[in-house]
Amino acid sequence: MIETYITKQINKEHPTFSYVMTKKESLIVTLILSSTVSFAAHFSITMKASGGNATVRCIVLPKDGASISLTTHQIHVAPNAKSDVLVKSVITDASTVVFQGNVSIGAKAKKSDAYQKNENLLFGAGGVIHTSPVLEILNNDVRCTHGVTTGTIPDDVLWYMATRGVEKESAIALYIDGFIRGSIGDNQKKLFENLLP
Amino acid sequence: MASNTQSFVKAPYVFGFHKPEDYIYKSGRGLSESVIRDMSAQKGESKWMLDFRLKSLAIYEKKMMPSWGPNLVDIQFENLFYFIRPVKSQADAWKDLPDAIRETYDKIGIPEMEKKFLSGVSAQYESEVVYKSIEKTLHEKGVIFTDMDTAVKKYPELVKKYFGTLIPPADNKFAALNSAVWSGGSFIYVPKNVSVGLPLQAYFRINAANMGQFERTLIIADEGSYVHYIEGCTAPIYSTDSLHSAVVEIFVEKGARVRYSTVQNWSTNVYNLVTKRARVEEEGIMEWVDGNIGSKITMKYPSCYLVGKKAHGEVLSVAYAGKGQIQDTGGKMIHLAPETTSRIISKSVSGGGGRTSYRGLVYIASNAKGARNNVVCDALILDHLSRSDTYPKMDVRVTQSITEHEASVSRISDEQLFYLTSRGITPAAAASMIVNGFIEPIVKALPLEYAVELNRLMDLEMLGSVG
Repeated sequence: MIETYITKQINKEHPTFSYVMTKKESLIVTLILSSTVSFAAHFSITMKASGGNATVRCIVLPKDGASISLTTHQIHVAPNAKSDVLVKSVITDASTVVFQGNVSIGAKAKKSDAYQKNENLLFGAGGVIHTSPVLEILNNDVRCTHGVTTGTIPDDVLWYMATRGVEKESAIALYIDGFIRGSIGDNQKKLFENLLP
Repeated sequence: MASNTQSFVKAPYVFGFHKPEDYIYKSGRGLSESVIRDMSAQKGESKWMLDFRLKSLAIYEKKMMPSWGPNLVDIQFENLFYFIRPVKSQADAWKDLPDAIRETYDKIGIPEMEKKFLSGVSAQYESEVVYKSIEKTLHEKGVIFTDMDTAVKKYPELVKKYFGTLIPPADNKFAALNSAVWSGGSFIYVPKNVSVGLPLQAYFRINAANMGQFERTLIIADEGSYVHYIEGCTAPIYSTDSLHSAVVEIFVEKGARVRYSTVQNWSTNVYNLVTKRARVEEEGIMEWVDGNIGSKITMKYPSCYLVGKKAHGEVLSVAYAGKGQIQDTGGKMIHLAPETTSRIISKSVSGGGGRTSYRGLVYIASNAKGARNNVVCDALILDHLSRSDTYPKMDVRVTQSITEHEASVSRISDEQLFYLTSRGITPAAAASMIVNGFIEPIVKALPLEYAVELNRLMDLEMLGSVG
């Protein structure tokens, strides 16, 4: 099952995406949150079936000083399930991203494989990133890892591109494009083409 | 494999002895203004300190208990003794100490260690430092290393300038409590460009049932100086719960470097709720090395306020939580100046139903251009009864900065165990070896005898955990 949401399709102030996996199946969800007004989104996936596999990709692009808050829950109840959540955000002006990622592994969910990654690109003056990746693990036979990075476009990257005749603005656009495309894949790129700075 | 790790047998607590109580003065249970007035008068303190204590008491009474973290409702504040005075005055020589106290120190091996290499010992028995010996060289260099009570009397101006400025009483409930009833602790002042070669040490010990220990430590490292301070704790077992709530303030001036090492091994009925903070000026370096093995609940988040350009902060921590224990530890890095750097490495091991948590904050202010931060948390869960949590927070407000956080949770893998057992090592020894390897990066930052002690304690805790 593959599902994709873009903010244009979401008309609620507090969009909530809730999935419960009760069968041994694969789920791929892509969430693109781009807005000039502030809102808070919630995403949760509950792994209730052994052998379930969920891949979640979120792109967060606030604009014009908006604050986008995203809370994700990866809840492992059944054993042998796999969940992978990747959240990438790009802040180009004085906007804010608040990310709270939760991974809960229940006492019976042995052999769970939960992964959570949050990558943030910050290059707007006054931009703020608030991120809190939380793990709660009650079983010792699991693989559970999370990672967070925040950073800007390195000067040497811009310099490299400048020496090859790429202007700064194009270089930045190229970098953001690569940053996001790496997580979503070519075929879905056109979905958010007009949302990029 | 899972069944192998289930039979977790807790080794008996090796430092669990206590001597009959022998005190000159003991306050009644519970806390009130009269207890504080009485205590301050007993210590012969000047008015400003009494006022500070009373102000703190008022704040303490207003403050709420933390709404997050481990459950603290079982602490019976009204049943604690807030001030106990073991001997009349401080002894100047080892032989002047009462026999009971000397025996206690013999058991934790102080005189021997002192003979070997200590530059100075300031050992704390109950709330008061009763024995201290400071080598002449420290005096010659102008280094002040004394207990906090003496410092308040002898160096009031110096103390007044720094005391309670980094951790004000209103910071949190336990800082307020400590500010009201503090007793003992160390005071260190290192003058400009002085490097103290040998680590300064102090031993703390709680010996009375229901005795709260509220030591207060203040370290000032003036420009370009270096000092390494070691705090080691052992405590005997009691059936009633006791509370240890210390406050440690460290000022790292321009270009100075301070390393603060702790091996905390309170018995498993002690609540260890500690506030530790350092203020780091330009190009200063602050390093916290923290080992938490004992206590019932530990809540400790050493922090660095990086206020000067190119200041650097570091937290290396290792925690072990066994049966009934909660180790809620972590670190805070507050980047308030450009090009500041920090690193937090946290390793935790939980077994026998214990719970370890990493709780941390990284804040990069909007003027901290070029700040860099790296956080790595590794957790090892030994059996299915135990748990491990990670609660990091990152707040980034500047574009030219890099922060990284990484955490992983694992168990002792079957492959590793198989590899070692196939070479004739017993499963228990193999598990011990793997755990000691896991915590090695932190342990090697400690002085040798502490590293040995930590490894030995870990081995004891691990005894019978596998096989």
